[in-house]
Amino acid sequence: MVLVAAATGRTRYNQPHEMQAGGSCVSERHTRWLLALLLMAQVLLLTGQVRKPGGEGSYLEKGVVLALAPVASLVATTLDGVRGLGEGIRLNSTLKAENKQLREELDGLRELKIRDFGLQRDMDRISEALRYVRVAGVPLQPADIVYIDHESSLQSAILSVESDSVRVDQAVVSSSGLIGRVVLVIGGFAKVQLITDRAASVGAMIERTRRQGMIRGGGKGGLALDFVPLQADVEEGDVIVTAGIDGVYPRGIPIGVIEEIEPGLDLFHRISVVPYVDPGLIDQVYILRTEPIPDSVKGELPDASP
Amino acid sequence: MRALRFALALLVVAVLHFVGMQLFPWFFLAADLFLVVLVFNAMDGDTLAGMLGGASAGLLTDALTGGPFGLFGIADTIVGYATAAAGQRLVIQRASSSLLVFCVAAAAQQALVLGISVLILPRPEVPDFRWVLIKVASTGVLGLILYQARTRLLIRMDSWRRSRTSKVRFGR
Repeated sequence: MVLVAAATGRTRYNQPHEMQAGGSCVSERHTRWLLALLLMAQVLLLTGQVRKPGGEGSYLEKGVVLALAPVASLVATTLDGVRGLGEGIRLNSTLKAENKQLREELDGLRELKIRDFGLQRDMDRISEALRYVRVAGVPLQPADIVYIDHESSLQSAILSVESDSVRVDQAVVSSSGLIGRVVLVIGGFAKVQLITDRAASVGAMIERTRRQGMIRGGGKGGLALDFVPLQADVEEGDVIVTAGIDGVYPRGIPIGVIEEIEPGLDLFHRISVVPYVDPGLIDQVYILRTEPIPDSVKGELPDASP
Repeated sequence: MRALRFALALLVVAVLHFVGMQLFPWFFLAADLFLVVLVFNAMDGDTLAGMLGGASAGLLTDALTGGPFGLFGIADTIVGYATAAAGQRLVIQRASSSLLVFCVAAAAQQALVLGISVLILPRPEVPDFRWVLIKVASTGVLGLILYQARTRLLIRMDSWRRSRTSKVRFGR
């Protein structure tokens, strides 16, 4: 049995009403009067609010709220901090996983680069032995798309560029594949004709068989590969790349993949191609700063006479 | 000194209340920590301290709840005074007794709040009975824990004081 009075070392007895209670310095009678006053004051406070609903509140209430607000704010800030810490820890684990994945990708790319370096050296040696002249690597210039219209049949885009470094008939690509060619340069802007434009055409080839043809814009986001003979080896899923024979687009830029092959009315297949690039998803592109073929070279026609 | 201790206890309870409300929006429906502290304060039989403690705890509760300012003030003032008055006549010896005191105080507070609301407010809100029961039970349990902790602390301090006194040796 636990007696608090025993525990504290003093015994408490029932006290008469008029005596001081519980060690208080105020008599019980005065305490009752004080209780009545306190209750009356609070009833008045309460009824005052009921009479004037929506009022500003008493000074007492404002004072109490003012005193408690910093505590509430401190608690809320602390809890937010703790929650933020928890989220930070979770985010940290996500970032670690992403970082690990990126490192693995980087290792793979480094390996590929080493292999490519070996292939490049082999190709250089073979080219030198055969006296084969290859087209030098094309410098890229990044540019932002400021406007694009890929819904109408005449599909175009406007790029923000440095005017002195861009010229007409330069190819425009994205990381996914071919986009189009520059058709107009005005000030700091260049207009690009998309390959899906009805008026656009690109010299192309099937990567697997090297069979050449011509890509034509379908006007509604699709492409068609023309001039592929019926007897040519062509399959759905074949990748189409630029052939480098039109004087505009360098060879080997990915264009799209064959979706459907139908027998045409004349000697050629009717081939539908899905482009790699979705114009609705691109915001930054690269302009291939190729040098134009000199007009003097273009003008030199071979002698047709036997 | 006692008033300072009580003020400090109210501050701690306010912090706990804020934490509880941040974590569980239904916290105040389930537990009234201010009531626990005011009953604990009033249990030693000091009616003045019980009454003033009840008024301050009740007004703090009013400031933190959306109801009219003074509703809990009146209820807690009465509960504080009544608990102290009861404390003068009762000697609490068992854990079940302290549990009963806290539960009765919580039930009385709820009844008083409802009664005052019905008498004064134009559209009194009748609380959900289940939450009232939960609040009464939680107040009882929290009060019991606090009371037992205090009792054990006092016993330990008393025995420490006695052992310390018995170790005093003179003339060595």
